[in-house]
Amino acid sequence: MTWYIFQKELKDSLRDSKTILLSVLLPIVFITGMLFFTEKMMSDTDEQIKVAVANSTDKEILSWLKEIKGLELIPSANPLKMVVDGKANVAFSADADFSLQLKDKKIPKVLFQADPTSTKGGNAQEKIANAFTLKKDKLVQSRLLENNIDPKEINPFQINMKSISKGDDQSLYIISIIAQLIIVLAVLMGGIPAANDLFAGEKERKTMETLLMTPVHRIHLIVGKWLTIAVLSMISGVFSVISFILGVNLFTEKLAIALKLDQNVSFFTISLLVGIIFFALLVSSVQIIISLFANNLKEAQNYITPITTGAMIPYFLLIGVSVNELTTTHFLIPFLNIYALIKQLIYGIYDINSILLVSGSSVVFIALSFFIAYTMFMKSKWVLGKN
Amino acid sequence: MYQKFFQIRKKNIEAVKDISFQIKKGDVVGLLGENGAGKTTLLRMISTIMQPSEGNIYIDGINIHKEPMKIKGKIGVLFGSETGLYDRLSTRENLAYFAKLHGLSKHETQTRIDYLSVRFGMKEYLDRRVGAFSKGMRQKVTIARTLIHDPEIILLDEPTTGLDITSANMFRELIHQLRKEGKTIIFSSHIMEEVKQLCQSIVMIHRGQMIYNGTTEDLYKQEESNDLNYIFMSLIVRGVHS
Repeated sequence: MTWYIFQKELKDSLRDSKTILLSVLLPIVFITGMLFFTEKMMSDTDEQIKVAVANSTDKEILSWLKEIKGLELIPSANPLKMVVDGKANVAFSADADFSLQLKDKKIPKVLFQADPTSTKGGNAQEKIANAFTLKKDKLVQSRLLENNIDPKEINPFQINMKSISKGDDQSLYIISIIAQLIIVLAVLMGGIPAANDLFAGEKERKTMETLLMTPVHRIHLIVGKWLTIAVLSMISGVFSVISFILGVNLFTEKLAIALKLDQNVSFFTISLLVGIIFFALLVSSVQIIISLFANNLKEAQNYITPITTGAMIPYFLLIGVSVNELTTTHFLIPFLNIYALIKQLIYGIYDINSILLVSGSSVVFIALSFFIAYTMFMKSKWVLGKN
Repeated sequence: MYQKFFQIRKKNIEAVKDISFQIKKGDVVGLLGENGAGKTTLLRMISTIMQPSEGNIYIDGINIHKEPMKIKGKIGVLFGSETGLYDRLSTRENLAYFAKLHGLSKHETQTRIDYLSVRFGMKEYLDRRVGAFSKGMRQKVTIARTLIHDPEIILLDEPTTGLDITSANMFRELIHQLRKEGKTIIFSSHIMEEVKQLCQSIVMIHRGQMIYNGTTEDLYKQEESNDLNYIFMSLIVRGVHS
């Protein structure tokens, strides 16, 4: 009987345009949009930065600027105005007699100004500052040598900073945060129309009453409905993974290089599938509780939106945690564990213990939330609503 | 023979209290009362979806709240203007779904759908989705769904409320036919004329309490009047003051 109810509910839900929209179309639009945005953001770093240079700038300084790659120098009578007007990213000016002052061992000044809210302007400022610091260090060294002082005297030790990653760390990080967001959102959103409709909606339309009058035990009804919501969430999650991988490989360059799935595709696929299945079962039982709590569709939609937003909190908590910093606790806490698992898989860490922890913890929380949902479903107050 | 004695409390409000009556097999019983009198609550309890806080309901000697599964298959329920249909399913799919839930085999389902579609003139729209139907069409599908498992007892909660004259008359005709077929029918209404036309016995409820239970003939004799409206009002007044 459960199977029959599941089949009917699935057919009914798939005929609902809202389900198709949220489970299939929205993930495509969302994923495509995210990937184009990310790719554009990353390619922007290779774009020419416009630097408005004061006409009075000393020629030697100008030659230093020309040595820096990625800068487009625009002579201007009022460089600051150009930045304010949005025609340049950085305004640059230096003393007209900069070279002369250097020779005379005076202290000439350079000034570059940018809008602090502009990422491009800030990056350009940093780029010019780094190049000029190198020039300054060279000058300091030559002056010290001129005065027979060993430059080591003012450099007692060296500071070296290196990343532990061998590959493109930034791209992998971006893939990881996008993948977590997309997959979890897809699972969360995929079952919402069905969850709202199969409980709050049926209460509103009085089909719930009609169902409860049939000689079918309520456990068959709730399990059939639960599986429908969970399957729709899973479909949405799996669909988002496929769309994401295809999108990365078809529409991006840097991200496609960073996302290497060819090393252990089967483990990656099975682990992600296990994670999605357990997460979908958990999410759908929570969604049933919310839907049973509501008296009608509108109420259910009002309740489910903030709760879905709340499910994003673990995502933000995990953004600053590196894959090496993930602990057992991360894999045991529901909702947080799916983000942790996706992050680990994207970074190519295939750990069977993580999968077992996620599965075990999910089973406990699924049992708990389903028990609450079933208890509510057995009571007229919740299953029939206020009316 | 059905024996009933029950009450239900909603927080501190007693929606239905101290109601006890018997219904013979094949009777058509009118449940009369104003809006909010407790008619729907009573029907919900008889249909097993609500539990009384005190008392019991028996059908064929079975306590329906202790053994609801034994009884559910014998009851067909229709709650007023709420059609309780799945809009994205066709008429056939709606009927087949409820047939399956009532345990009918594929062959039985097909036979019942064929019979009911002819009986209610639904053949033309048997494979069309219910969502686009007119109120009259939906009402027919709802009746067919109520009767899909050929129930012995039919509960109708204000079935003619909100219907046009033609549909309401069709409904009254249906109750006549079902009575001839030997079905036991309990239907609630606040339309006195309808009850007068269709019922052999009446249960009158006022503010959750029973103020009359008996045959219509006895009621007319007792009150020395044929005017149900007048009788109802005078019983209310006497009931309230007693």
